[in-house]
Amino acid sequence: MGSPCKLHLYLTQKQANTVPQAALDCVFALEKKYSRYQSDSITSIINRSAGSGQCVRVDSETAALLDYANDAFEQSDGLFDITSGVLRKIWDFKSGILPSQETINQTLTLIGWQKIRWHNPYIELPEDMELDFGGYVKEYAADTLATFCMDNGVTHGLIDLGGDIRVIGPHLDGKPWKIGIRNPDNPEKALAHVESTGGGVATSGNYERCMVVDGHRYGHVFNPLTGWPVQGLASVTVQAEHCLIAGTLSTITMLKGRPGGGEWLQDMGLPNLIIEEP
Amino acid sequence: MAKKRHQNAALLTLVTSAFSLPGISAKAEGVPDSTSVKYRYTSYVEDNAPERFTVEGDLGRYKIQANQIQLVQPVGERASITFDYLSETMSGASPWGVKQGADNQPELIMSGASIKEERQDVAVRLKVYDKESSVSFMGGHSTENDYKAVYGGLENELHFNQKNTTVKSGLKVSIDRINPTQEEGQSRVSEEEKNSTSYSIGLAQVLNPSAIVQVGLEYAQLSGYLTDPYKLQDSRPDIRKQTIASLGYRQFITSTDSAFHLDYRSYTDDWKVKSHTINVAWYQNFGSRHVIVPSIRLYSQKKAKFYGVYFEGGEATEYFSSDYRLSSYEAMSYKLKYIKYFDTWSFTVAGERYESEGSSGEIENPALVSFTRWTVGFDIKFD
Amino acid sequence: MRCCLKIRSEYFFSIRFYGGVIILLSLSGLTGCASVEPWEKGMLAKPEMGWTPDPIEAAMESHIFFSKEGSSGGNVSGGGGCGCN
Repeated sequence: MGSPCKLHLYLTQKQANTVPQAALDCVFALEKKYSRYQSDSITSIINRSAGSGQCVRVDSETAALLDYANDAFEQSDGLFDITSGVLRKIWDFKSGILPSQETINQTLTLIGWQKIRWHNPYIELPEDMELDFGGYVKEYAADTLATFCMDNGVTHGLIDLGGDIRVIGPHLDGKPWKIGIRNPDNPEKALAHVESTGGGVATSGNYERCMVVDGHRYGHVFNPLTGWPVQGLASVTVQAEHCLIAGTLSTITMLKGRPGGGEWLQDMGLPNLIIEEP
Repeated sequence: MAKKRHQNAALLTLVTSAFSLPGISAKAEGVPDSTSVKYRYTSYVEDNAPERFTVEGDLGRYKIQANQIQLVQPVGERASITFDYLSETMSGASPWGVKQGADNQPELIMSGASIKEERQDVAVRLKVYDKESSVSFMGGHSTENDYKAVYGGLENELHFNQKNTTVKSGLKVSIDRINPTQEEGQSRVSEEEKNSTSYSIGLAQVLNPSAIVQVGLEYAQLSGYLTDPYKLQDSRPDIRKQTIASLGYRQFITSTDSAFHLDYRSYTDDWKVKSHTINVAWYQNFGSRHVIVPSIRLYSQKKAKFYGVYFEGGEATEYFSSDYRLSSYEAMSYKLKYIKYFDTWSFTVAGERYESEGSSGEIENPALVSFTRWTVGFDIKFD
Repeated sequence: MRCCLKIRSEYFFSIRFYGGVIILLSLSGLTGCASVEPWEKGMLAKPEMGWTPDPIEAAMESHIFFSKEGSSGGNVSGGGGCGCN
């Protein structure tokens, strides 16, 4: 099941003939390129090469995404880490059983962006390590789509890729878009609304999947340094010029947890909404 | 908020990094998105000199064949580079002078038919686009066996008011060197130089979704050897100050799928030459593949203060010229152009007929030119 | 204890479009002069509405007029000067 995605665009008759289809093609192309499930995606090609001693030469877009991941890793003191996807394998939310500390420790040896050899445009992964662009490509896709629409003369619209939002411009009458922020207690209901006439809005939540063991709640956002789910925050929403930036900041804030996350985010001086866990 | 944002080093790092992603850095408007090549062949043929007024030389006037190639190459997301190459071959006779004949009739002296010349012109232009502006730098040179010009320029465009208003400014400089070919029995200068500098400003304004207007003002100063070395009796001031005002208007007509062009230019200089030029064109689309463009150009000029249709013997005045280009005359030209669009290229053919005649109340200079021009070519876009 | 809500989206990147809302606006018959919005500029952006739709031919024309007439300027730069007669 994928995330529900919607495009709200005000188009001229001429734009309507071409822009929507081309916009969808543009997003599907990105998904195909970075999906872990497509065996011919660049993600799969890089991951398959892990431990082979061979490096993979990547295209300029992928290189820019890897550079971005490197910067986010450094700025978050190692919390934003695109190699942390392997933790999903040991945390089985359906089982209701915690992985052993030994298993976690073993998995942690396969995590760490600093272990990757990245010399633009060549990347080389140690054995069994994996990259996952999933943590930020959807946000990047929202920005890409917005850029594409703007290049084609679209000036009013909102792009919603499963909750990662990028506003191109206000409604036709100049009114801002109202974007609901989910109540972690009741995600079908909006807890608050933010208004936007342009820019990105992204939310990172720890409530979508979790398990309760011995009265303790374990969410699906993992700290790549400890291998344990982060604690303290239920959801972080950030508004920034680009959806990618909003998404990265909300993710890092969520990973920093409480205390620390909220303070770090306030320093950015961007509009945000943090919902703490009780 | 913007200021505060940049106080944070972490955020600045991420934003800077994000801007190198292709999906995030928006393309500045106007940047060509692919390489294109254009080619034009032009044949230009002047009518023969009038037999009954020509007393010396050859009647067959200039014929020019020109090849032009233009390559436009995008450079990154925000710039483009344009190469222009022109090569032309000129042959035929040109007017040397006018003398007074019987009954005050002017008599035309033409050169022999032996003139054969080539000119090559190469220019490079770099244009850098930003969201609300663009800057271009241009340089080139033109070479003939008797004439060399090196030129350069700078242009700037600033957009305001949601791009409904554009302010343009430009500067162009040219340094020309003249080395006339020598002819037995005539004394010509051997090496001279002339320079020109021009400054221009312009304002374009969108009036409504189908109309746009533009006004422009240009001042140009030419200095150095401005005399025509090939004319028999020619002496001109070594400075010429030109002022040009222009007006442009474009209107799209939805009901007929056509565009109307009106351009007007008013010219005046300190040699007392004045001119008015009106150009009207109609771009008629037939579907999305065919365009037919009829146009008409009207030109009217008042003579230079030192122009005379002919001069006799030792001149009393310091400056004098019988050059038909400095006389009072009117010219009219008609042009028809056809463009056929294919998927990745287009074909163009155009024909033009230009005729000029002396203004009423003046003795017509028998060297006034009429010509026919044909141009064919194609534009190709590479994706 | 509040917890374990229905899985709405996977953590990783996976997108499916449904119910895309597309609102169409026909621009025919728009008038007014005050300020033309960017999305109203379709007609002005047509190549035949440019100041110089064919710059290479315009350069040739302007060069011919420059060499054969007593005045010049005010339009596209048509290359260098010449010793034209």
